[in-house]
Amino acid sequence: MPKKCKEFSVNLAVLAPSNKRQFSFGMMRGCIDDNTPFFAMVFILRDLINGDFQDRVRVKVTIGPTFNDQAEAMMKLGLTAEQMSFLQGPITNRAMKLPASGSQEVTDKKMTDLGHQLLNT
Amino acid sequence: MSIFLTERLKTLRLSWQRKFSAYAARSVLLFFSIGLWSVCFASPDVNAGLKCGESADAYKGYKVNDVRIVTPLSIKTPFSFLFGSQHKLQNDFAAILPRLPLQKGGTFDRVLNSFSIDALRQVYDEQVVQPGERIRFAVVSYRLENCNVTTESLDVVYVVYSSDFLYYASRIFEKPNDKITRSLAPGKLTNPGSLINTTNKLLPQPLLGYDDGRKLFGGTRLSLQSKGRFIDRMDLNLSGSQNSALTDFNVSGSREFNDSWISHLDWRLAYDYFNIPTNDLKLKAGSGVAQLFGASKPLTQHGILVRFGTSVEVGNRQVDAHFPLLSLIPDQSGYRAVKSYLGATINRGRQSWSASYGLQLGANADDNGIGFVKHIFDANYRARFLRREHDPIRLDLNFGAGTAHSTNSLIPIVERFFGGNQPRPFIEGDDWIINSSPLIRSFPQYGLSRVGSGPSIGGTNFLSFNLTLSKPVWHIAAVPAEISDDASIRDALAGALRTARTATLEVYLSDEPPFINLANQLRIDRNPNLIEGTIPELEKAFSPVPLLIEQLKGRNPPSDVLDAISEIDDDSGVLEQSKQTLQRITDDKEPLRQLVGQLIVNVTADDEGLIAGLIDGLNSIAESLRANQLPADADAIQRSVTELTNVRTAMLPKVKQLLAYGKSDLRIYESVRQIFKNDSAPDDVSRSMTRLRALLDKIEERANDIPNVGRSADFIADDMKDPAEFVLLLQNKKDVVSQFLVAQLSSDTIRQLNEFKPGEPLSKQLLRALLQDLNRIIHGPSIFQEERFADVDLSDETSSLAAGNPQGLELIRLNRSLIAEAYPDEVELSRIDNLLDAVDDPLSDAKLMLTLATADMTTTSVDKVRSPIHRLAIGYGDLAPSLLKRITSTTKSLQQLLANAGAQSEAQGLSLETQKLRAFESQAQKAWREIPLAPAEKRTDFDIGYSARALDVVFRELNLVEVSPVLMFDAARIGPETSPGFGNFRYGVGPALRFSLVTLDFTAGYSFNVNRKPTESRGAFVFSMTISDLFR
Repeated sequence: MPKKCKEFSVNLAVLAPSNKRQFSFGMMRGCIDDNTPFFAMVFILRDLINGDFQDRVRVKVTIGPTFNDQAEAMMKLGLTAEQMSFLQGPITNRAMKLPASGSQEVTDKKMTDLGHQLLNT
Repeated sequence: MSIFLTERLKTLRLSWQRKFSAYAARSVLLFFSIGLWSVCFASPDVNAGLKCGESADAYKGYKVNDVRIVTPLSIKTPFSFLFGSQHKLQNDFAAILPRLPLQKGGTFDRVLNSFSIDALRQVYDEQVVQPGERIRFAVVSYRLENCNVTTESLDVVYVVYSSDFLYYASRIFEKPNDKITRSLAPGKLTNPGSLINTTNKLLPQPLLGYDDGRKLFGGTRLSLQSKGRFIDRMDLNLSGSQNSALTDFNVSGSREFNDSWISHLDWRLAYDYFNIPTNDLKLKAGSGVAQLFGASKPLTQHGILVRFGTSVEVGNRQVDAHFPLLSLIPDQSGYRAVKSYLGATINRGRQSWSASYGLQLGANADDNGIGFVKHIFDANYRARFLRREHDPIRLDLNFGAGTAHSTNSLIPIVERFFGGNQPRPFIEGDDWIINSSPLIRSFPQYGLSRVGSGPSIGGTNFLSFNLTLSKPVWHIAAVPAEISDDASIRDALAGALRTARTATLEVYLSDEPPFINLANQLRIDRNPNLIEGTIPELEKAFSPVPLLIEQLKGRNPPSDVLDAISEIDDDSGVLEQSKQTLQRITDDKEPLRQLVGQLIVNVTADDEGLIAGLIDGLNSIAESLRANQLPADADAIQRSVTELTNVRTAMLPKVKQLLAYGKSDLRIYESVRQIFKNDSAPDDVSRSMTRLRALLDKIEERANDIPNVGRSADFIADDMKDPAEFVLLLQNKKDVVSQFLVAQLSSDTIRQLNEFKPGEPLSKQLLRALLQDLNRIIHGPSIFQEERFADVDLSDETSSLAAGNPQGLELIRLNRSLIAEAYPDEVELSRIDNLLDAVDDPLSDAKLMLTLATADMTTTSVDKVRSPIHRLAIGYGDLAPSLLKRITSTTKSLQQLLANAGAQSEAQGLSLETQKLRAFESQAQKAWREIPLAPAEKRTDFDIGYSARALDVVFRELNLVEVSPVLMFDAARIGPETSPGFGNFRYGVGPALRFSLVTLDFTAGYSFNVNRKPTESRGAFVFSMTISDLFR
């Protein structure tokens, strides 16, 4: 019998040794019902500016049922160096192009596509 | 009654390792004593109500009566005032409640619930990782409570757990310098709102206590921290009573080192004075001291921490006696001494070993040179054995020895050895406590002072041995079960740790000189006349391109030229990507290796990098321009193509070298991969798992008729997953199946059913009666009717069985399956099915990991192989066990179940395969340990290992509240011996009770003086408040 979906989230934040940049990676498993999970990934880029860490931008990528297996696998396995590199390259580039959103999350189709690409990297 | 309220007595676990602020302990003492009773009955969530069934779908559309947020710090205790940050956190969460998508008064919905969890997760997006903290984590889950099927209402409780709690728990009582004794210092908390940020705050702490010698005493401790160059802290400790006084005033400073084997240095200037009564004496001492202490970084592969220190002391020593002192022992004298020590500690898992040696060279005022010499040795072993989660057996062993001899003059009495239930630090003021006196808890402070029948003037040598053993009998786990029991959460945490490893390794590599050298070769353009393949050259070659493209677009070129331009020039095309990446790469905060790799080598496995893509695009544009008779523009573009190509070609080998730097060769994992899959070997994990799957499928088929545990067995109590919820569902009779079942129950069972109240424990009588009736029902006739089970999601097997006319065991199986499928969260289909379900997930995950881990070397990379291997066979201990371990522990349980049920052939097959998989797992772990790793990887694994251990303590060991009986045993003697052997050893044995609040331990007991002499008391009360640092 397949395991029933249960909602939860995990957040992990890592500070670069330079102490000047932080990236946070959050994953949430949501449930539409017992048998239909969905996943959301949040990427936040934060820089040290004038002594305080300030958000450059925050982007949320929601992954629909099509990519559930990859998303679940990534959550359990962790990011590979290739995925980390993709996150810091094209995804960050895209994030920096989006208008500064402060604490508001932005939904962007290209970012969603990049999120899907991340899963397959 | 004599009460010895010792002022700095530690439990042995910590006594000689870390110095807890006795004054802080005493200030808390009164509150603790008053609040102890109420704390015992404190609940982590005062509003906690009846839990609902597992499936939240069943409650869709229910009215939400309440929405609450619970954190581990939600517990209301008399100590809540100590957790100032807790209030801030609670206030933060209280402010979020009105903004959650799921609201009190609204209706329950899974999607809204998911978004509410996400909203709470976002609280942790806001928090910044402080320097030294390295990682932060947070987990948010939920539970439903007080589900009322009559009123269709419920409460939603969000459970939030974060590493903030870990820091508060480990540090709330510790002194700033205590962190250096950790294997890895997680760093300072400097959040402005944190209590731990005490800079420029005068912190007075009142104290009050009682000691049999000192009687009732009181005083204060004042401390002030600032950010001075050499002095950054000032402390004043004062306490006094009718017959005693203690004063300590000091200024101190410290420095941390990043690039040396020394991690930390402390210096301190102080004046210490004490005037304390003993049995027959009054000891007085005043000293001005200058001290220097240090600690190393973890050294060697065992992570040995070395501690060292020295203290120069000048002052006086004085004794008031009720009897004439020996003429040769001075009762008053000037004093000077130099003390030095060297110590080391090793922490491994839940065990710790420490040893220290101290040397004191002292002199009286009249001495020329050294007057007396003292040697001190102190060794400790501390261990926590976690046989069951949150139930640690703690063992602390200590051995101490010391000798003092005069070289020029007699030793002052104050400097002789006195034993008792309070350790005496070799050097006052240091966090590294070396006990310089025998600890024997059956004697009051300074109570062991007589050698043989001589006067009470202490001894010139000592030996002591101490044992403390405890085991909790009651606890509330710090991490709510909703979080700690959820395998998905532990899996996700393990995934987060692996992500942290990847990120940490990358930055450690980038700190290495060869990496910096390679990076500089790309960053610095040494000869402007040559193409060396540098980033400035690439910028120069790239810089005209955007302008050329803009100019072309501005001249309305033919449509095929525009089409060629649009191939590279949209807001996420290679032109924009290259431009952005080049802009970022000049900033030294940016990840050079990744960015330059994406420019020159590839972004994903399917391309050749942004510049190559740009060159292709520019070539297409040039071709279109030429085709449209625009040669000048085509030539301009072509010049850029040539320059970019030349620079890229020159950069390519350097970038490839940079990308390869520190990357392990995939072949180092070959030894583990061979254990997983090796067609030329007699057997491997892959084949073993295939056989196991076949065995499990066979067992699933046989589950229909295996007696006692199969689907045609009678129900037993273990088959009820949630009996209370089952009873509630029957009681409420909301569905047709429940109405039918209740109608079949005996009148006595119905009476008991109706008397049951939600929230109460289910009585054994009711459960027994219910099982008896259910077993009568499943024995026949068939309970299946299409309309009765119309709302139940029946399995194909059960539907097919119901369509026939089953008899005997098949009929029992049908009826039992119908009930189990109607109540999937409350009733087991069978115990075999339960275990088969439990092994399904890890087995299918393991199959996927096996495929990834053994992928073709030419099509995969180290990073894509290492994590699947780690997840399949290594894991993070019991926090997130390997998949193989999870599989074999479940198949072992299944095997035992089958063996007890008489299904010997299935049990034997399962046992054989379980043993094989376990053997493969051991082989894989051995091979994994033998993999040669680069220094940066070793350093990364050491650091991530600390994070994993800390998480393991939090999830599996840490208790919010804990009560433990304690056994104390001490043996000590002071000399010189008047008889040979161990005749002068004194013993103390006694019980105690320890009450622990997170990491604060309160221990009270009595130690009996088992070989009591006529002048001695029967024993002594023991009282201590200590901090147990579980996160070393």
